[in-house]
Amino acid sequence: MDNRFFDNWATQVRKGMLELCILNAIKGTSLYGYDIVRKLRGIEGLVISEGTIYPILSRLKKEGLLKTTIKESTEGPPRKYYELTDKGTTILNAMNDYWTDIKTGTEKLKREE
Amino acid sequence: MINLTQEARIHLDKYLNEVRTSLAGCSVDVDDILGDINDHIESELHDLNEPASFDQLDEVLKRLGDPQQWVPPEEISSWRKMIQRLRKGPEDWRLAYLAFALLAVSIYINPERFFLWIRLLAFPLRAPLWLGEILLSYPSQTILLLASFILARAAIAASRNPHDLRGQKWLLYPPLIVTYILLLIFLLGFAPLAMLAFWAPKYIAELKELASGLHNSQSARAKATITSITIAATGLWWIILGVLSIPRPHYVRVVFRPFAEWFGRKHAAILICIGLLLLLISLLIINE
Repeated sequence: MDNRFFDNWATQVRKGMLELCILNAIKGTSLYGYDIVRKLRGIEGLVISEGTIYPILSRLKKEGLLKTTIKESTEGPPRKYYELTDKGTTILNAMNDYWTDIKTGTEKLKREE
Repeated sequence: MINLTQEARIHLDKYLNEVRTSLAGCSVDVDDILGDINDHIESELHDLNEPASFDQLDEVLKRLGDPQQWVPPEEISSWRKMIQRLRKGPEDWRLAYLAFALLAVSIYINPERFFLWIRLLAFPLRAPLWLGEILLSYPSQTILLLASFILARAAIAASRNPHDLRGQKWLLYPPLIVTYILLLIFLLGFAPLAMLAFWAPKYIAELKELASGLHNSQSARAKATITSITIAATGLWWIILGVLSIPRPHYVRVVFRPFAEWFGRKHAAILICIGLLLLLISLLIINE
């Protein structure tokens, strides 16, 4: 297999999927950064460098999809918790619907082979 | 506050500086991210009963990964991209910046002489006569141009896709074009004159006078003879070049990469035909 082609393609797929997965991980709850990393660790092939998640969180916050609150912690200093804004929830629903359509279409193509 | 050994503390400070440098100029909030990174490391190491060692911290940092790879290239400003590429590569970009910088320096140290070369292109018949003098009279400029050219060729060789250089074109093409033009003038024009200078030095002096417009003292016959010999020598040389290129057109493509990918046997044959035409013209001039 041409590894370079596959590696480039996988990188592009990961770029798009990471934002969707981060938003889905936070949906309906309030998580701090490390919790989000731990949740996404379980998805094989999604996270190559755990640090990539933090610039994405910062960007999503800048875009207005996430908001942060500082909460006291029993395990150390106060922690910053992320949760979805109303705009984030709306956009996440649209992203999930889009992803479902793409996934359904792709599965259909695979079955036709 | 994370409890670390002295060695681990230094390692962490270095890593955080790298995060700050890599993310500067991006659309993200660097202080926010640094806070998140510190929280992450704190969470990973909070179970330890003693200060975390260098190795323990390093394991966490390895999982966090290289900060340079965290942000997509399209989010980084052009200026920041340039600095990152100069510091850490990839090699083809670093070479491209250096090649362009050397060209800029070679122009800067003597812009008048550099642009003299460009003016010579307006007088292609004169260019070969003065090429040698110009190149040798200011050797530092020539050396810098040569170094710039070598680095540009190295950048193309190191590039993942030499046939699609994209943004690198703007850095690599100027030193390549300048050098290739000079090389073409040398190969097509200077070389036959150099041969004639070797066999008939007096002829070159007379040709220079003719080219400079100082030919009033010469007879029409002498002018015709000089012109005819020049054209014949050039024609003969172009025929030789064409004949040598026909079995090996890839040599031309390699020498003039990436501008001569189209060169083939057909073009070598065209060169021979033009050479024959020049010989014919020289005969016509001498017979008038």
